[in-house]
Amino acid sequence: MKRTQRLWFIGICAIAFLVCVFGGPQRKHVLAQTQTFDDNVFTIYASIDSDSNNNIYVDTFGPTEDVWEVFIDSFEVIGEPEWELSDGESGEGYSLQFGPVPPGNTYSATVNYTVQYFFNGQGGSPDGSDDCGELGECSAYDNPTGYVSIDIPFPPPQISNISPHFDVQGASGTIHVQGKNLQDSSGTLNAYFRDNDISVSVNPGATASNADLSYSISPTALIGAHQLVLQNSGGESEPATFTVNSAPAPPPPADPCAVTSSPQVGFTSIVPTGTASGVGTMAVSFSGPNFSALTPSVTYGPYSTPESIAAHMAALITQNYIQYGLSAKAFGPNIVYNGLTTLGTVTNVATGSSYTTNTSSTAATAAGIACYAAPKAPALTVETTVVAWIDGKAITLPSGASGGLTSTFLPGGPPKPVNILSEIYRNCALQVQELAAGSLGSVSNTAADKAYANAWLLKYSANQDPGPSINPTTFAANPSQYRLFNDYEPSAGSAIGLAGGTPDPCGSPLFVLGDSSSPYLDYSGTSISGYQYHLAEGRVGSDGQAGWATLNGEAIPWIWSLIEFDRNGKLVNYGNKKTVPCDTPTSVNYQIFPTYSVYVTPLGATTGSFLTKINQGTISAFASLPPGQSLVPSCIP
Amino acid sequence: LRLALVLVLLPCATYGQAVQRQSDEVVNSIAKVKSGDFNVANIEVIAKARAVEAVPALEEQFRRATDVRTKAKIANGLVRLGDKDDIYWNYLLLQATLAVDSDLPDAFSDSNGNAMNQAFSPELIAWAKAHNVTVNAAGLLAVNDLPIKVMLLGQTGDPRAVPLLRRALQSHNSFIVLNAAMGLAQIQDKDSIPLLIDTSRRLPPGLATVVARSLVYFDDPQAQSAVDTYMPKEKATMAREERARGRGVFGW
Repeated sequence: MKRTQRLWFIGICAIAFLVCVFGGPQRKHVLAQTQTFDDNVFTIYASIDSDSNNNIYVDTFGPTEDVWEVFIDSFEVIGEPEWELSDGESGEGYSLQFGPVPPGNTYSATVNYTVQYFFNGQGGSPDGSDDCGELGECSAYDNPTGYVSIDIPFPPPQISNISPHFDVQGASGTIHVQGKNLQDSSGTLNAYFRDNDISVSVNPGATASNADLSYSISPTALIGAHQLVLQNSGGESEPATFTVNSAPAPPPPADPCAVTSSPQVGFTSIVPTGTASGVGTMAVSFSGPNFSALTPSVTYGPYSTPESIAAHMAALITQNYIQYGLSAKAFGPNIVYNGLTTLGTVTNVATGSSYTTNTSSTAATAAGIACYAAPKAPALTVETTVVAWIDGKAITLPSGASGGLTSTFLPGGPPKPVNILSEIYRNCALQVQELAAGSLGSVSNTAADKAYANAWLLKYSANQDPGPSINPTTFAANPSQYRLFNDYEPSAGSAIGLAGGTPDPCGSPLFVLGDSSSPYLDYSGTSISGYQYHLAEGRVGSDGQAGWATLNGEAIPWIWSLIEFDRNGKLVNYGNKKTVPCDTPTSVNYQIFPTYSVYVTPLGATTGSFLTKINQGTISAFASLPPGQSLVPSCIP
Repeated sequence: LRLALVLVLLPCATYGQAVQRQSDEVVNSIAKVKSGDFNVANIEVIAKARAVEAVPALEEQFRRATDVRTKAKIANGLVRLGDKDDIYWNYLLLQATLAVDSDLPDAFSDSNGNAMNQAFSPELIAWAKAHNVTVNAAGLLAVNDLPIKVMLLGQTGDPRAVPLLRRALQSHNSFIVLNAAMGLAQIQDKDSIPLLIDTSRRLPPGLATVVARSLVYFDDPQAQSAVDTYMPKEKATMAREERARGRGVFGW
């Protein structure tokens, strides 16, 4: 080839390449076969490619220069003799199509070329060996052989469906995948999520159309969509969305109905409201005097199932309202309650006689719970408040006190209002100071004087009767109104115990805060019988303790109130039952002194109504108790 | 005759039982102090009984005590029992000095001496606010805690307390003044009689009566004259009768 011819040829090839890359069909494999003939260089081509349907195309072409022609003498695909090129089909620009072929293989074509060189008789053949005759045409031949091959890989997996496509944090299970080209011919199929929140592995037995994946969701997995991807030798699938929902509340106890005591007080039925598709709230209302104010509700989302909604609701009720005897089962379109009914009334909005698991992964259409129930103590719906206060009217001053004492501690009490600059007030206050410092002062060392001083100090440091109703919150804020305050609202999870104050018996606006050092001042627990209680225990402050010791020789007993609910949600009243084996207190619920007024505040209300009053015992009985007597929680029966 | 014998013997038996009870009370108090489970009343019982055998136990409890009132009461008891270790006296004196020198105002009287009967004085309210305590807590400090420190010092009857108690008569806290007057009477510091009379003169009548009651315990014409001046007649008579029956200014 002359230099000018050669440059022209290279230019053609460059243009052809650009066409291949940017405009023509994608050619996956191209063979360039270079031949030198008679001092001229010729390049011929064979290409092989495929389409998305695994059809294979073999094309040949060569230089377009007139003087040259390229023929494909033969063509065969290794291992596929039916696709051999037959005689007479060779030629430049010939295209051969066959397929579709099975994926996952490498296909090779062997191409034998015949290169014929024509010239027009101007000097014969290039080597001068051929006579071109009169027509001036002659030709020369060469027969190179080329190979071209193509891999037809296995296509990447195509996911058409996964089930389930959601679960909750911390859950594990099996995802069933349907699709095409899942596991390739070499047995390769991998699965993974694009984040680390969910681990997944392919179970044995996968095919090209089905696969089971074991998954485990981290308890801290992000709520929302996660991308599941399958991979085989052909590449990755398009991701499928798997949704993680928040974990439901813990399920109810497996067998909460084991309690054999009477479980049902005031409860008559549970009526759940229906749920709608999508998102919403499921509410449950109770009937019965002790339950009517309870309206628990749970929200659900598009991926919630009736089972999960109802289970959540059941757990909520168990946790907050029902302590014993709960047997809550979820039921939805395919779930029917089948629980025990021996201990209480069951009202079930669903019907049926069997219990099956809801397998639907679609949005909830209905859900509910059915159970029999015994109210948790909190479910009594009342906030119980016990106010310990000294009833001054109930204290009678004993007779026989000395004149020196009665002139200091006036039998009628300090004038009201007391004159702060008066001798009466000053003598009284100085006497109180002396008692607090351990001195008897004007109290002679006689039983009569001591009894009088005891009674007088308590009578005139008395509290006002809390009255027919109290607001527990505001009442508690003023410690001069009580000696001890105990408030227990289990349904709200709140309890408080406060030591009150001792108003100045001499009539000034001063009051001395009580001793708050008892570990049982604000103490909640479960009794030996398994009942819930809140204990408050306190006593007069340090000056009062010193004064009591000065007059009585011993440490003043503690006072306490115990609010306790039995399994039926009833306030426990042990009366005068002694604790066994702890026999120190004569009463478990209350110390024998002072007066205890009990109030109940309905759920949601702010004002408590008077329920009952335990009158105070005598001061002499209180003074004869063991020094520093206390109620030890471990002794509460 | 038999009846007369019973009438004669009965008081004797009663007295004997009382003595026995007191003895038991002292023994019990000493045991409690030794055990560490005691109260201020136990110390008072020991001090009154002059049970010096309790001194080592009281000294030990003084060393252990962390509560100021208890510690001061132990020191009070030890001084009254004649313990010569200055540590106890110094503790009492220190506490009383802190009380006398305190800037805590009177709880119920304003700076002009006007009473705030059912309310606290404005000065006390301001003091409580400045010291970030409740007014009630400040009031208890003024009415109980600080005056009791002065009381415990004066109850000892120790003449070393005279200078501080005289100064305490000038306190703006009326309860400290009253306890100082009682302390000077307990010490029988006759040189303080003019001061006590002057204190009665400047105080409101009710408070003057209380101070004047301290003068009942001085066998001194000037003091007794002041008693008649500042105490109502029947109260002065009653106070003198109590003294005649053996009651001290602090009751013993």
